[in-house]
Amino acid sequence: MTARREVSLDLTEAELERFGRRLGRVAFDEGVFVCLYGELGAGKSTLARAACRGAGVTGPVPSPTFTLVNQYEVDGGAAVQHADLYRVDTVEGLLDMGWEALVQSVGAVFVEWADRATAYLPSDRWDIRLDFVDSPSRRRVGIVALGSAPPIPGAEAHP
Amino acid sequence: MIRLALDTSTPIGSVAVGRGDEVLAESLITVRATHSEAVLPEIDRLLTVCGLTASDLQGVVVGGGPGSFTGVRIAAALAKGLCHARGLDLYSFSSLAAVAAGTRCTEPVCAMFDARRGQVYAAGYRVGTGLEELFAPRADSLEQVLAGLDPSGWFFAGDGAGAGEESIRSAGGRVLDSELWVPRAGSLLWLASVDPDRGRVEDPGRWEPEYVRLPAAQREQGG
Repeated sequence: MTARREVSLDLTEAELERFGRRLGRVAFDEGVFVCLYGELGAGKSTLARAACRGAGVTGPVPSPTFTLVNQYEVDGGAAVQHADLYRVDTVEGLLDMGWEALVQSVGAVFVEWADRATAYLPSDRWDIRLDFVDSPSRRRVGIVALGSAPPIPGAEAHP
Repeated sequence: MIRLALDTSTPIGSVAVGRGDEVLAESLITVRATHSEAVLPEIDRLLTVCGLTASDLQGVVVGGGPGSFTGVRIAAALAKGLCHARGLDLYSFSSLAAVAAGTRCTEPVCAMFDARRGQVYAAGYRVGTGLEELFAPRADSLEQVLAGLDPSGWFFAGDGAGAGEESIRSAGGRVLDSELWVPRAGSLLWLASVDPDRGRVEDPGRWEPEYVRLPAAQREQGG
């Protein structure tokens, strides 16, 4: 299993779920800021939910579409944050939802629809792009580790 | 003109009381969690030390960020509250400008705070009889900041410079002693006395601090 700075994979939903858990585990350990991009239905929520699980969140993981940010305390107080910028379409909206605090926070952050904040993203982060492919049951997952963000864990199934 | 100055944008907060550019009393407070509990009693204490009361104040000078999101809001809320309650004038200067002013360095100074996750808040200044801004505060990676200037002609200050000291030195820049990294309230008093027009806030009720990573709403509308 080699860790890389750039990874592209075609995964089924079950594989996406497993890979998300592994990503979430590393994101939690290293405090990674994770940005998710992709059209509606591309699998951002599936991946983010799995990543929250991998980061140690045990209760329900509802969508933050309306709350904008859901914060979880795991493992004796460390925070895992799951944000969704779908409904945020202005700079004022970003300010009001606490974007600056989210970026400055310590710990794992998973952001869906991160393209809504393109100009305001931190330098150290993982960018994860989800795309449809010919087979409707699979998704293409492209991941890039930017700045001093840790390398991306391998996709091999060794949970 | 008796003014109160405060800055809580970094882990070291500062409060000062001054008459014109004369600092009557100044405190530095290192707080681990939050400045909200320490700053208000310190304002009281300094006023008492100076033999003054809140009714002697004519203005408040606030370090208006950038910095810790929570810290910047604490100073902003306190300053706005005081101005509203007592009808005082509000002055705001960048917390990075406060660092640069405090160095009294005759070479260009790049003040930097740690903005987390690979970025710094950085701005460039030249200190003279006043403070000249050489480049405006922005959030960027240290590499990009260093690429945008000739580091050998600059001195660097602030906790962002401390974290990036190795890169700055290897690029030829010089990092000032850590005692000069703090946005001191006394420096804010100096800024307000040498350049009051630049800091003056017309409508304290509507004023917001500068988060830098997200541009202020007014600037966004202005294009």
